[in-house]
Formats: sequence, C-alpha cells, structure tokens
Amino acid sequence: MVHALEEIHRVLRPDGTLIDIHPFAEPPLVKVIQNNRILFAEPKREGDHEGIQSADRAVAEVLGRKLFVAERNRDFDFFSYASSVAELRDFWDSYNAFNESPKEVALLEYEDEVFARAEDVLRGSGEDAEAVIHERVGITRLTRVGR
Amino acid sequence: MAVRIDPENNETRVLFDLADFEEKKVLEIGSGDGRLTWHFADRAAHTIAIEPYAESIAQAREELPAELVGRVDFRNIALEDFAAGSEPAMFDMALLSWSLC
Repeated sequence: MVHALEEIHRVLRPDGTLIDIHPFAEPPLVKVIQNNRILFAEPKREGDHEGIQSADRAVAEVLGRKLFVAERNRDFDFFSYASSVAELRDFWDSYNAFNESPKEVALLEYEDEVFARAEDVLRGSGEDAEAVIHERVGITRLTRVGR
Repeated sequence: MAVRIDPENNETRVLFDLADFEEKKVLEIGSGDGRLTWHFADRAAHTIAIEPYAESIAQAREELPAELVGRVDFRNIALEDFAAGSEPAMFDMALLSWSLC
C-alpha cells in the first residue's frame, strides 16, 4: 500500500491532490429497516478489517515521510439497500471480491448467522422492509509535497 | 429490485465538499463499474479510470453515458502497471475509490 501511494506521488503534479476514500476498520452493520425503524442491526463480521488498518498505517507512513500533507478529512454514512438479504449479500461479495482477504471458516459461519437472522427478521416484516448494509466511511484530502 | 447504493448521495456530497474537480486531469484508482466516476467526470477536464477487475471495466465501458464519451478513459490495469508506463506529474488529482484496502 505504501508503494501504491509512492506511485501516486510520482504521477501527481507538484501540489496535486490525492483524495482517499475508504471505510472505517470497524465492521459494517447488517440492518433491517422499515419506515425508518431499525428492526435488526448487527456487525457483519467480528473484529476490525485488517486491510483497512493497513491502509491507515500506509497513509500515516507517507504523511510521516512528508510525501503528502493531510488537508482535510470528513466521514459519512454509506448505505446499500435491497429487498432481500441474499441480494444484498451477493452484491456485497461481488463488490468486495478484490478487497477482502481470504475468509476463515469461522468468519464465514459468523456472517452466515448474521445474514440468516437478518433474513428471518425481514421475512417476518411487511413488504416495505429492506435489508441494509451500513458502513462508516472516511474521506481525506491530501496534497502532494516534495520532489 | 436492484441494490440501491448510497441513494442519499452522502458520498458525493462529502466528496464535492472536499475536492474541486473543475478542469482537473484526474486519475481514479479502483474505479470498479464507474459508480463514483459518473458523479464527478463531467466536472473534470479528463479522467483516466483504472481497475484491475476486467468485468467491472467492461461494465463501466458499456454504461458510459454519451456526454462522457471522450472525457473518461477506462483502463483494465493495476496501479503498479499503469504508473510504470506513465510520465511523472501527469495528473492534477488522484482519487482512491475505496481501493487502498
């Protein structure tokens, strides 16, 4: 990841801008909502995401080496909605196919349980209930410095 | 029903609060199927959007809006390979779209 940031530094003009968007390391929430009421909310996985922790460390390293300076950062809530839990899970898996490390069996079992419980709640609710993945996401604006 | 992604536009609202794309030469890294590209590319002078996943790039090219033809160049390539073939200081802005993890 540090190498990727070094490459970006090279292709950016002096004083160029790097925008980094990545989710927080904390697990996203699997939710079921209905008319703005939360019927179910549980973390999608146990523990923080190692890849995201590594990304945070990589950014800290290039800031420490003064390749970039951090100008501003914000965070926001990012929601993905579907009418079925299976649809939402398929979407999530395809979207994150290249972002996630190989999953351990225990982790997959944990996720299966969370999604199964969400599906039970969704099926027991009205037609206007939806399955949701709720992520917290950070965005940072950095300016390229140095030669 | 398709999955609805960020219908509140929280991501683009915060992105535009932090970054001015006007007339910038932009490199988007990890553009995926162009989900975020569509939101900013009309403001930028030109965007090169790279993504190592061939299926996503194919989808992005297929869905490229007519008004962005000639303004966005989708490439199926990893950052390391793209950078190796690029001149220094080519871009005003780089955007890591959920790709540094």
